[in-house]
Amino acid sequence: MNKAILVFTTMSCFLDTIKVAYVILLGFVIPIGMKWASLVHGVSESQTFEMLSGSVGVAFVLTGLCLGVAGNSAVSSSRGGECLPLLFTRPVTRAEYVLTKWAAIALTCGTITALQNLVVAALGIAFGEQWTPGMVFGQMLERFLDAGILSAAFMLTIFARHWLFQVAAIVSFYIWLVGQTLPPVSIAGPNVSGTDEISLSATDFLLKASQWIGNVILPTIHVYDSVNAVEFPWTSVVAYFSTVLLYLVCAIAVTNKRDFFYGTN
Amino acid sequence: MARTEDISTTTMPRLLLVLTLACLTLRLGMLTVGSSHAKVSAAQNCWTDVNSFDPHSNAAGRPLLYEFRADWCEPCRRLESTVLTNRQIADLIAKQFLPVRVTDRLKESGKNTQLVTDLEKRYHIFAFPTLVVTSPGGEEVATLVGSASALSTVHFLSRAARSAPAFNGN
Repeated sequence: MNKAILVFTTMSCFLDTIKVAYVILLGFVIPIGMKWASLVHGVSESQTFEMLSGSVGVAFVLTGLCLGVAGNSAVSSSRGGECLPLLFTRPVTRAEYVLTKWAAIALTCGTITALQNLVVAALGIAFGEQWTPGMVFGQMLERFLDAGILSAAFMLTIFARHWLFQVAAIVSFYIWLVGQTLPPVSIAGPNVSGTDEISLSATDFLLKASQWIGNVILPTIHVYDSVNAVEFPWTSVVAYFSTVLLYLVCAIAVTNKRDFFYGTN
Repeated sequence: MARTEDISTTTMPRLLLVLTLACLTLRLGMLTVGSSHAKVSAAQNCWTDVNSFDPHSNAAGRPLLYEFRADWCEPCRRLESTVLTNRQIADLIAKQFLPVRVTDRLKESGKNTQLVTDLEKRYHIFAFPTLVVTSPGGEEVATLVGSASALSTVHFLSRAARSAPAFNGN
């Protein structure tokens, strides 16, 4: 880890006021507002709320943080990027650069979303919801894990600049995002025909694609579920770490292959 | 300067590479072995099948918890093996609800019993698994579609248990 890059990246996350406003809105105002409203009005658990305070919430916050952090603002003279040429006069390896940037972004995003989850839990406790310290801790740790895998995927997408890869990554991300509105399900498939059948088949296809992408490309670890499961789900732990490591190795490999000059964007 | 000028800046950390390869091999190995979460433990014995459910057995007036499922449905097996067997959830269900399991057999047998069809129509079931909490009289209180995490499910159930008596006017 390189301390200078770590500090520089963390500071870059908060240099842009529009970016900070976006992070506050999607990270705090909307999910906490929705939780508060649902508790006050006594409605049943909102699945849209679950989405915003779960891994999708992490993805939204990360989108705000990463835009301009991993790539552009690092070299933009108006955002503190003028420090980068000086930084690279030191013998910093590209692996060190990629890994430090990933750690800084993952930790920043993890902290923001874990803090949001802490506020959500505090609101729940105040309104009489069942929360144990293990649940609160598990949920906060889950946000750091989500931030770890999503930021590794974001870093790879930003560094690997082949248009075909970027298109595939962005399409996969949106399919995953759509599927996150529902937990894993199987469509009931009643005896329907015509447009209803097409609509059901399309929903079924989208959900299956999203679940596949979720399992293969962005696997998550449900910390509370795993700790309390009858059998510890080693499969999801291995899937998670193998994917994060693969993304990081690929990000380093593509950065090693690129030529960087002053003025590279 | 601690490092010399001839150090390449484009080296790949060996430890990272070895760890990645080891994890990927392990993952592939686990994929070939397959998942084993189809086993459902005895912790779910409090569930009653809808076809043998007697509404008069609910003397305490507890809210009903329906689990709409199908045998071919993978997320249903995941819900049953990882969420419903969670000790906190199993306790909550046993104490607060009268749990009833509704198994859809449309895909296997081509039709369901009239009772299952009526319940699916009444609670607008379009996907499995779906958990529906109703008042003892059958009025829908809350619905959770899909195999949500244990954490989401425990919050859903605790809130639904609180809402049910108020909804029923008790």
